[in-house]
Amino acid sequence: MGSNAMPSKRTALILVLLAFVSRPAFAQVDLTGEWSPRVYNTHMDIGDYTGIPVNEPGRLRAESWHPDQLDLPENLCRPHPIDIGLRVSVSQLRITTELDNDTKQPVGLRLHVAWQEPEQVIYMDGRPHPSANAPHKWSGFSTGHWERNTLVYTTTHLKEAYLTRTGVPKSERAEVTTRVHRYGNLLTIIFIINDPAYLTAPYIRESSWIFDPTQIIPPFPCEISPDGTIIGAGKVPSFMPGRNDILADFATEYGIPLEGALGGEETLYPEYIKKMKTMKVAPRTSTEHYRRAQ
Amino acid sequence: MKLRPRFLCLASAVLAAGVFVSAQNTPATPALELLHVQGNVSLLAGAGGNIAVQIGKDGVLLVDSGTAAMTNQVLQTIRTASRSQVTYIINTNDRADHLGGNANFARMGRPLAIARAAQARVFIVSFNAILDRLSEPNAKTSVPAEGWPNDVYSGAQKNLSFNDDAVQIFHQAATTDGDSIVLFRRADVIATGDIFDPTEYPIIDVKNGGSLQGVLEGLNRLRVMAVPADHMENGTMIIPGHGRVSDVADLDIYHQMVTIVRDRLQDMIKRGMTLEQVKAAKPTRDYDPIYGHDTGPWTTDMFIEAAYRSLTATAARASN
Repeated sequence: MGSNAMPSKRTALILVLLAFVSRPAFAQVDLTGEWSPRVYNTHMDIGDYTGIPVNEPGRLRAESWHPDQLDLPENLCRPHPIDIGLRVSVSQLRITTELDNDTKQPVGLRLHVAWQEPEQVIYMDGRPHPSANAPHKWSGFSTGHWERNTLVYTTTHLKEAYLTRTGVPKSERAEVTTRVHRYGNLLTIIFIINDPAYLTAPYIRESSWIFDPTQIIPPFPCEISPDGTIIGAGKVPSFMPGRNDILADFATEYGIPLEGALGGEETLYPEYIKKMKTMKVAPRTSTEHYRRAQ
Repeated sequence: MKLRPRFLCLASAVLAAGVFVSAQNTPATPALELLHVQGNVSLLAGAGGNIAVQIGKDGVLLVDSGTAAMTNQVLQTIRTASRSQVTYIINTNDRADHLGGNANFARMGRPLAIARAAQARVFIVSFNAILDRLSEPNAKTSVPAEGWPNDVYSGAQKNLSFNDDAVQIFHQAATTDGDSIVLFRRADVIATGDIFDPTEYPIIDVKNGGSLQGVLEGLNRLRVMAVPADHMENGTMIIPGHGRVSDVADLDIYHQMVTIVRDRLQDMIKRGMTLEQVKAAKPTRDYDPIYGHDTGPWTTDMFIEAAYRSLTATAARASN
C-alpha cells in the first residue's frame, strides 16, 4: 500500500480515538418508561457485613447502630439514599426525560423511585458539579454520558447515609458511579460506591428491572408525627462499643465465622473461602435475630 | 503501520480533549465563594468562619465577619452583589475567625445616622458576655476596641427588622456562654455559629462557659426551630459555623453523632474511667474519619478532654 493510503488510515484511527473520547449527550438507547423491580433485599440482618469492604471505623460504627434508630422521628420520612433506594424495598422506577425550564430542551434524565419518592436528575449537558459549599441531597448531583449503549453517570453531593439497612455507614464524601444498560425489556443498573471515609475498596452491587408500561407508581406522602414515635425527643439509641449483644446472631444462625460476617475487603475475594474453613464457628443455637432485626 | 510524530501529537490532543471533558466535572471550589442559600441570604465561605450575608434595600447585614486578614477579599466578594454599606454585623461567638473582621468594617463607610450608634459606621450585635470578655482589663484579645460589639443584648433574644425580613437573634449558651443563633424568618434561613459545625467535633470552650450539654441543648433548639420540607430535604436552610450549606437532615445527623458520643463518655465516666483511660479507649474512633482532626485549632484530643471535663463538672454539680 502506497503513501497515498496513509491519510485514510490516519483518519480512521482518529475517528476511532474520537469514538472513545466523544460523549454524545443524549439517548443512544431509550431508557424512559416504567420499570418494575426484581427485588434484591440483601444485608437485612444485624451483624451481616459480608462482602462489604468496610474499614475499622466503619465496622465500629455499624456495630453501635441500634435498630430502634429507625423509630427516631427525624428518620420516619427520610428516604433511602438513591443507591440504596434503587436496589431495596419497593423500588418501582420511572425514567423520564428532563427538560430545561427555560428552553424546554432535553438536558438529561430523571429517575423517580416509589418508596419515599426520591428523584435523581442525571444531567447530560456537560454542566459541572456544584462547589463543595453547596447543599448535599439524598440523591446527590449527577452528570452522565454514554459509553456505547451504556449510560454512565457519577453522583456527588450525597448526604451521609448507609450502605445497608442495618447500619453500615456511608459518608457524605462518598461518590457513586452508576452504569445503566438496557437489554430489550430488561434494565440492569450497576452501582460502584467509593467512600474514602468508610470503605477500603469500591462496593459494587447491581439490580434489575422489567419494562412494565402498565405500572402505576402511587404517591408516597409522609408526615413526621413525633407523638407517634417511641423514642423520646433528643435521645438516640445506640450500642456502647463492644457491647452489642446481638452482633453475633447472624453468624451463629448461618454457621459462619463471626470474623467473616463482619466484612472487610478480604471477604470480597474467593480466596477467603479457604481461610474461612480454618476459622472457628460458633454452634448454631438460635433464630432470635430474625425477630430482633425487624 | 508506523505512526508519525504529527499524528501522535494530534492523537494526544484528541485524548487530552477527552480528559479535559472529564476534568470539567470535577467540583471546583474558589477560595472565597458567595453562594445563594435562600431568599435574600447567601453564604460567604472561605474567610475563616462562615459569613451569612443578607442583602436588600436597607443595606448589607452580616452574621460574623471572618478573620481580620480576609476583610478586603470579603468586601470585594460582597461588592459583586451589592454596593451598599455593611450596616449590621451579628457575632455568634467571640472566636477570631468569627469576629476578626469587625474592626475593619467599623472603619469603612459613613457614620450611621442613628442616635444609639453615636458615630459608629456599623452596628455590631452580640450577647453581652462577648463584650464583657473583650473589654475586660486583662483580656488577651487581638480585637481593637472599634471592633467590639456596640449593640449588645442581655435577654433571651433580640429582634431586628432589616431588608424586609424579621431577623431574630437568640442567646444560647453552648460552645461558650455567649453564643447566638440568628433566624431570618422570611428567608427561612438559620445561621447557627459554631453550635453546628459539620466539619469537626463541637468546640467546647469550658473556660468561657461552654459545655457539651449546652451544645446538645443548642442543637435540640435548632431542630425545633427548623422545619424540613418534603421527605426531609430543604425547607429551613442552615448556614453552619463552618462547612457547607445544610438542612434539617444534616443537622439531625450531627445531633445524632454528638448525642451518641455524649452517651459513650457518660457511660465511661459512670464506670470510673479517668480522662487518660477515656482518651486511650478512643470513644470517637468510628466518627473520626468525618469529624476528627489530629492537628489544627480543634483536635479530637482537645474535644474529648473538653467534653470529659464538661460532663464531669455537670455530674459534680448534680451530686452537690
